[in-house]
Amino acid sequence: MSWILVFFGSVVLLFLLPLAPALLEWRRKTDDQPLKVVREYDGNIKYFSLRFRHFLSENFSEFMNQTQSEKYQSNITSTKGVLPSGDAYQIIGLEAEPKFTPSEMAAKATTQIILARSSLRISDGMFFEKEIYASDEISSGNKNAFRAILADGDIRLGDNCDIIRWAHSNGNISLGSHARLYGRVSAEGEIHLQQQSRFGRMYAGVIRFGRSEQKDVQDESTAPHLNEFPMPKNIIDQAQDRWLMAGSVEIPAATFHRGSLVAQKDLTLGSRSFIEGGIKSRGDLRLEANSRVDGAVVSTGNMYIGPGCIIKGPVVCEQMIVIEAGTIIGAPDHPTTITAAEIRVEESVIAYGSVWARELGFVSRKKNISE
Amino acid sequence: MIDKQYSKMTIKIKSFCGGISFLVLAVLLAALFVPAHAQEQNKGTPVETILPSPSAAEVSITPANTEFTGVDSIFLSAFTKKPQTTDWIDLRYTAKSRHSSIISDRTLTITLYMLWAVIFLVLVYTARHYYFTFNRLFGTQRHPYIDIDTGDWPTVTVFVAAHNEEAVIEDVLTALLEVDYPPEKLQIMPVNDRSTDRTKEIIDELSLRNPGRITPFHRSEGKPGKAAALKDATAIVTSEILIVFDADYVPGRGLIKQLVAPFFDPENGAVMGRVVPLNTGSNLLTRLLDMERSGGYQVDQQARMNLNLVPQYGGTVGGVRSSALAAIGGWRDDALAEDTDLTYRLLLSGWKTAYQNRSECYEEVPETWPVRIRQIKRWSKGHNQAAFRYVGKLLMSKKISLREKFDGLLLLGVFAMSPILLFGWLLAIILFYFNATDWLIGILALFALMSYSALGNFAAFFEIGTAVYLDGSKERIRLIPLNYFGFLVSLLSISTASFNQIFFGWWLKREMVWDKTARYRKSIAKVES
Repeated sequence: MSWILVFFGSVVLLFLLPLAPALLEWRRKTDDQPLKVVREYDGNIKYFSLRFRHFLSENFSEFMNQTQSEKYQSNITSTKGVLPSGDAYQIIGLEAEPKFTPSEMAAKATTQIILARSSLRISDGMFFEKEIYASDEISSGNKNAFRAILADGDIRLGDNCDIIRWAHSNGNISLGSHARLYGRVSAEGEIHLQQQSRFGRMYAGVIRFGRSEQKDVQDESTAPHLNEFPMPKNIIDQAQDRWLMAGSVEIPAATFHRGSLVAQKDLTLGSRSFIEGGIKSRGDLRLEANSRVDGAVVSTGNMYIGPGCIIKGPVVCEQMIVIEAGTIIGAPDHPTTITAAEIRVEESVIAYGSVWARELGFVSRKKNISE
Repeated sequence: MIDKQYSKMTIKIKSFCGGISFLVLAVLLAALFVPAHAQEQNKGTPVETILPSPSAAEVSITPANTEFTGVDSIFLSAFTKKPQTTDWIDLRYTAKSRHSSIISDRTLTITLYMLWAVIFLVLVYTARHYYFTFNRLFGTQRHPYIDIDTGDWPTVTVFVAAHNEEAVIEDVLTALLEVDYPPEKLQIMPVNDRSTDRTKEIIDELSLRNPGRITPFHRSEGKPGKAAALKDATAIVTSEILIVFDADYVPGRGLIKQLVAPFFDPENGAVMGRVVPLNTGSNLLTRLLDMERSGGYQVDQQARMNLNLVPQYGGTVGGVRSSALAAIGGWRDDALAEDTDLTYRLLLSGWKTAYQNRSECYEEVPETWPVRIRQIKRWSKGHNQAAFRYVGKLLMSKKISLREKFDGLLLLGVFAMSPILLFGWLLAIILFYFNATDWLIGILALFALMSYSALGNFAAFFEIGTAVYLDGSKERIRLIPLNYFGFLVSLLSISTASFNQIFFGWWLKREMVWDKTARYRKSIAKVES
C-alpha cells in the first residue's frame, strides 16, 4: 500500500513541478504591469530637438531668456562650465567660434555642449560628441561630425559632414556634398542636400535634392486633351471609383483616369498620363516621364518614378524607390510623405514634407542612379 | 514599443539546439522501443491483422480478446490487452468492433476516419501557429504605413459606442479631444445606445464644454446592438473614414493619424490597431488574458500582415473606409460579430484590412470568469455565424488569392475547432473501448504521440510565449502553463456556445441581445505614460 502512495505522490509531484514557477509568479506578481503605451508620443520628428530645448531652458534659463540686444553685447565673451550631471559646456560670445583645449584639438573631438549667444562658426574636421545650439545661424566647414544641432537660424554645413542623431533649424538647412544624415533632420524652412549625400528621416516645408528649380505644375486644362483610360478586361471590382485589376496593368501614355487604380501585380503608368486618384501595385510600380498622380502612390515591390513627374502623395514603397530628376512630390500647401526601405533620388527633385528612408536614402547625380 | 528586444542569433541557436535535442531523444526512445517490440514478437504472442498490411503478415485471431457482449463488458474490455501486430508502422483503414451488438464494424470504421480528419485539422492549425510564430521571429516585418506622418489627411468620424458607460465615457472623449489630428477634419461622435445611467448627461456636458468638437448621437429606439447603432450613426455622417472605439478605450495622441494612414493606400478598406489590456494586474485571469491578447496581436495579426494574408478588423481601435463600407452594403445589424462579418465582406469585395501593430490602445479585459465566458461565447457565436455565411463565397471568389482563401478559411474555423477537438476526444474514447485493435501502432504511434505532445500542444503556448518575449516582458512568461486551464474553460465555453447556437439560435430562432462586456474602472483614471 505504501508503494501505491509513493507512486501516486510522485505522479502528483511530477505534475505540479512544472507549475511551480507559474505558481510562484502568480503569488509574487513581479511582472503584472500593463505594457507601456506612451500616450503622449505622436511621432513628431522634432521630439528630440524639443526635448533638448527643454533641457536648455532648465539648465541655462538665463542664457535662453536673453533679449536680442543682450545677445549682441560686445563685452560678452565665452564662458565655460560643468553641469551637475558632469557634462562640460561652453557658451560662445560674439567671437562666434568655440575654443578647444589642446587635447581636444589633437583628438579632433570635443565632449562639450556648445551654446552660442548669436551665430556659431565651426572650422573643419571636428567631432562634436554633444549637442550644439545657436540662437542665430550655424555655419560649418568640411568634414565635421555632429551628434545633434539646434539652431534658431539657418544651418549651413560644408562637404563631408555627418549628423549622427538629429538636427533642427527654425530656418533653413543646407548641406554640402557627401553629407551623411544618420538621424532625423528637420527645418521650418528648407532642407537642401547635394549629390552623393545620404539621409534617413527628414522633414521641411521644402526639401531640395541638388540643384532644382520650381517647375510649373501641369495645367489641369490639359487633362481633357488626354485619352480616357478604357476599362481593362482584367478588372475584377469597380466599386466606388476604385478599379481593382487582376495581374499586371499598363496604362498607355497620355491617358487620363478619374478614380483609384489597384493592380494585383505590376503597374506601369505611361508618360504624360494623369490619374486623379491613388494608384497601388502589389508588385513593382513604374511612372514614366511627366506623368501625374493626384493621390497616393503605393507599391509593395519596387517603385520607379520617371523624370518630371508630379505626385500629390503620399508615396509608400516597401522596397526601393528611384526618383528621377525634375519630379515634384507634394505641394507647398499640401505637404506629404515619401517612405520606403531605400530611396534613391536624383538631383533636382523637390519634395514637400517628410522623406523617410528606413534603411538608406541617397542623392545621386543626374542619370547615374546605379552609383 | 520595440518589436524585437532579443538577439536573432541567440533565438536561432536556441531553436536549433532544441530541435537537435528533440531528435536525439526521439532516436534514443525509438532505439529502446524497437528491440523491445522485436523481443515481444519473438515470444510468439498471438497477433492479428485487420486488413492486409504492406508486409502482408498473416495472423490468427483468438476469439477471446476480440468479441465481448453486454454493456458492462465495454469497461471490462478496456482491461483486456488488444492483439499486437508484427508491423512497426501501420495505419488502420478499417475497424473491428469488440461490441458489435452496440456498434458495428462499419460505424467504427467511420469513427476512425472522422478521428483522422480531426487529427488532420488539428495538425493544420498547429502548423499555422508555428508558421506565424517563426515569421514573427525571423521573417520580414511589414509596417508600410507607420512612417506616414504628413499628408492631406482625410475627414474622419470617430464613433465611440456607448451603452451604460458612465464610468468610462468621459476618459475616452477627453483623450480624443487631445489627439494630434487637424480638428477641422475630425468629428467625435459618441453613439449612446439607450443608456439608462448617466452616460447621456456626461456626453452632453462634454459637448457643451467643447463646442463644435463633439457631436452626440443619442439613440432611444431601433434594433439593439452595436452594429445597429453604428448603422444608424453612419447614415448621418459624411466623413471619408470611420474610426470605431469602445468606450473603455483611451487613445494616445498619435493614434488617430496612425489608424488613418493606411487609408492612403487605395486597396485598404479597413484598419485594425492593437489593444493592450490596462487592468492586467487585477487577478490571475487578467494576467492570462493579457498574454492571450499578446499572442493574438503581436504574433497572429502581425504575421498575417507580414504574409499578406487576412488580418482581421476587430471592431474597436480600428476603422473602415466609408466608400468601401457603402460598397459592401454598410454595417450588418444581424451580425453577432460585426467585426468578423465586416472583414470578410470587405475581403470578398477586394478590400484589404491593414494591421498596425504599433497603433496601441488600452482596453479592459474581463476580471471574472463568468464575464470572460460570456465574452468568449459571444465571439464564438459571431465567428461561427460568419463562417456559415462566407465560407462558400470565400472559396468561389475570384478576387482573392489562394493563400488568402486558405488563411481566411482557417480564420473562420478558429472557434469551430473547440467543439471539433472535443468531438475528437470522444471519438478516440469510443475507439479505445470498442475497437478490437489499436488504431495507431508501432513506431508511428510513438513518433506521432511524442511529436504532438512536444510540438502540437506546445504550438499555441509557443505563440503566446513569443509574443510576450517580443513585448519585452520577462517574468510573466512563467504563467504560461496556467493558460492551459484557461484554454480548457474556453474549450468548454465555446463548445457550449456552438451547441446553443445550433440548437437555440438556428433551430428555435431565439433572438440575440447585445451582451456587453462589464467595465471595471470606477472613476476617471489618468493613464500614466
